[in-house]
Amino acid sequence: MTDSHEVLLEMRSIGKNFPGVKALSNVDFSIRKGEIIALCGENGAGKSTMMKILSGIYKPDAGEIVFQGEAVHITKPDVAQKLGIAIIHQELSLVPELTVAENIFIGDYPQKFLGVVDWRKMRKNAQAVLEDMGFKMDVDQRVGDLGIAKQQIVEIAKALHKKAKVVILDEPTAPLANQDVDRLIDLVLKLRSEGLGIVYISHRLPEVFQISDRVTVLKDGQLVSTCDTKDLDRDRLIKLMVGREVSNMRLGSVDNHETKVLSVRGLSTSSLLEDINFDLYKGEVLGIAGLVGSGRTELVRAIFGADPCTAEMELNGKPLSVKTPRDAINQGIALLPEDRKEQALVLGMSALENITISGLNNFSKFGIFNKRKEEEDGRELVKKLQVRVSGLSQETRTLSGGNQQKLIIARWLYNRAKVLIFDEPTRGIDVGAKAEIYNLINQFVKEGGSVIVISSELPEVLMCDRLLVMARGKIVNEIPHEEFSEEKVIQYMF
Amino acid sequence: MKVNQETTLSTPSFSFQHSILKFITKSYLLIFLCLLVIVCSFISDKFLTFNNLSNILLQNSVISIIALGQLMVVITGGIDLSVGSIAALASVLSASLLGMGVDPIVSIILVMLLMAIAGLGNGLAVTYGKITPFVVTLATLTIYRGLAYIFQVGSLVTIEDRTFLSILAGKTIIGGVYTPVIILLITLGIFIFILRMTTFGRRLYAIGGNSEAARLAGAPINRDIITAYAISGALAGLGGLIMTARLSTGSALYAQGYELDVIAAVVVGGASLMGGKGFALNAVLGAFLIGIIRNILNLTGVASYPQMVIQGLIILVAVLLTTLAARKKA
Repeated sequence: MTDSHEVLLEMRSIGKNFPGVKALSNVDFSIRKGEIIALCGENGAGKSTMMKILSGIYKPDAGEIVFQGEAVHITKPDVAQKLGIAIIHQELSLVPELTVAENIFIGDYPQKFLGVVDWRKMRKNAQAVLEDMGFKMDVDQRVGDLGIAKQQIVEIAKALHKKAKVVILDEPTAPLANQDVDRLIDLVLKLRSEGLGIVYISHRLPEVFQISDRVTVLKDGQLVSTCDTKDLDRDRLIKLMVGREVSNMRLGSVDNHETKVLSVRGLSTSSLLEDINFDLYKGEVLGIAGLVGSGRTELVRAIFGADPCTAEMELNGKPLSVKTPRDAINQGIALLPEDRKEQALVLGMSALENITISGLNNFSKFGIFNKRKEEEDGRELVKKLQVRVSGLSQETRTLSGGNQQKLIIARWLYNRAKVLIFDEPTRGIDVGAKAEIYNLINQFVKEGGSVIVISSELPEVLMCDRLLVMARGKIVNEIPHEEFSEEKVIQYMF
Repeated sequence: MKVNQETTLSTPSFSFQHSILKFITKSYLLIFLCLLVIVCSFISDKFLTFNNLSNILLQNSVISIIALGQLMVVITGGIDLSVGSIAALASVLSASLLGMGVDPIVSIILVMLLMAIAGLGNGLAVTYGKITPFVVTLATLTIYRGLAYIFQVGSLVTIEDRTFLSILAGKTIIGGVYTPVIILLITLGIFIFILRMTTFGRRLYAIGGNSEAARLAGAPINRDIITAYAISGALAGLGGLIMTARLSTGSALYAQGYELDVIAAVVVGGASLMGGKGFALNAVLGAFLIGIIRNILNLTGVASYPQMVIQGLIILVAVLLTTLAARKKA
């Protein structure tokens, strides 16, 4: 269907090396007018590097870029912007203190005489851009007060206002709740119908099949294949991406779980949670499902001591008092938060330092630790969890999402945690690493640990031993594994 | 688990070139300092004299000691503008204590403890008061300086206590090296140890790098930050005591503007004011780098106003070089 469309942009035999790593070699990629091309591949496959080259953040070492028939050199982000290439990163580049209108027009405010900003015109035009996209929004609102979904809309409006011809969306739906995903997808389809070329990067395969016209698959910096989406199915795509099949997995085990590990009674917070009661058993993987805002994240943060709450808790039959995360950690309870970069990792520190930050106390006398021992332990954990790092001293910032998550798991294993609480364990993590994370969870419970898994992805919670469904700050249902069904969960979630 | 042929952890390669490159990027300040000494010895024949070198060591010891405390605060992402005032307060207090006949060693310990409490105040306001470090220490900069003037009550106090003078500004068995240099070396050693080998030191970097992540990893961040400010206060106090001994006088006028010199030293030493970065040795090298340049400008007779301009430019260049090196590495 897209064959007749004009090629907007072509990347030919692109190569890019980083010290010691061949990030891309000989990759061809093209974007046509009025099409959505999905870029798929595991983390580290080279997707981000490709897009950073397109948006002028990196310079390619080899190859050329042809834009509307002319060879172009995108040496810096400005150049990309002038050509009409807009990239919408996962981390949005909006100024939270400015209004919606100001953000859309940032850099070229409409002006009147003597450079005075023409506020009226700016508001009107901002409104017009948003209405063209099919959204109504108060353009005088501070962007910082908007939810993530609306911020994304503003970011796209900004790109459209700058006359973007190519829009790159990097994991746009990762932070969104389901209903917002649908709205975003509608918008993307609308942009396509207006003749824009859209690059869609996502780990969520259903979306890829739902909206894309073509799919380009990268693996280890090389082009695997580019083909029409209609010629693909899920299994084939996964096989292209990872070079192997990922079967449906099960988290936890079928054994009877009898020993109570953690019991929570009457947990409430001032803002949302109300009288939460549940138990967690030894060797069990307990899933918690619920919409964003149902209180699932708040619940585990409260148990972990990250936020204040009132509750009666018991750990292994003994009363448990948790006032700070430190208390929880000392009792062997660990949280792996949703936002790993903001809440778990110190990105400027090394992989090793991020592993040992919590457990180091246990291996030190008078606060002094043994560096050699630290390295040995770190090396062992890295090996056990198969964290792919160039060395223990590699900066955490440069690791992929899957490897970052493994570092955090390693951190808690080093600290001898007995209860691991995962908030979105595989968000932003590619298919291959996902399976490895699941394996690690299974290994952990097999060795006598207990796990709580919160997830927005239904298939993920449906893999667990038992499921709690949350809505409006309460647990509304508890479902044993035998009675799992998507319908049942969804029915209680809303 | 997935069968994995990739190397999960490549064994460290010890190529010769690699290790040289690593050495250069790691100790660029030391190399730069050596080059500077060579250049200076050509510029002025007075530079490489015994007296001048001894003088440089002595003069920059105080700044370096205070800079070490500052570094600790800077690593947590904070800043301590009150160090100069704390030094002056320590000076006045020690003079009055000695004047009252308190034992010199007790006086030294007592003053350092009190200055640690002054720093603790900064830390409390930053953590529990949730006021930005810049504002807190800007306020205490005035408060502590004011207290120093109040305690001084008019005239300068001369100090005659031999023990006090010989501990803090006396000669050592090595000719030309005075006790402040030894005190600096000991402090530096302790700091290198704390920042590299203790869980507290490691946590400071984590707090500066990402305080929320540090908290959720179980770091007692308030306690650690308060401790850092207290140590900064104690070391500023120690600096003030040394100044007092060197001039045999307690005065509230000491260490005016030292906070800026100290921060300059820390920053030239490659620490980031955003937190999470910085090394003890480099902070001291930073102080000496600035000190040596000031010294050569004095020797060649450059007037003091142009000196200020040159010093400022040097800070800018040094920081530029550091950030460029960091960017290249990334």
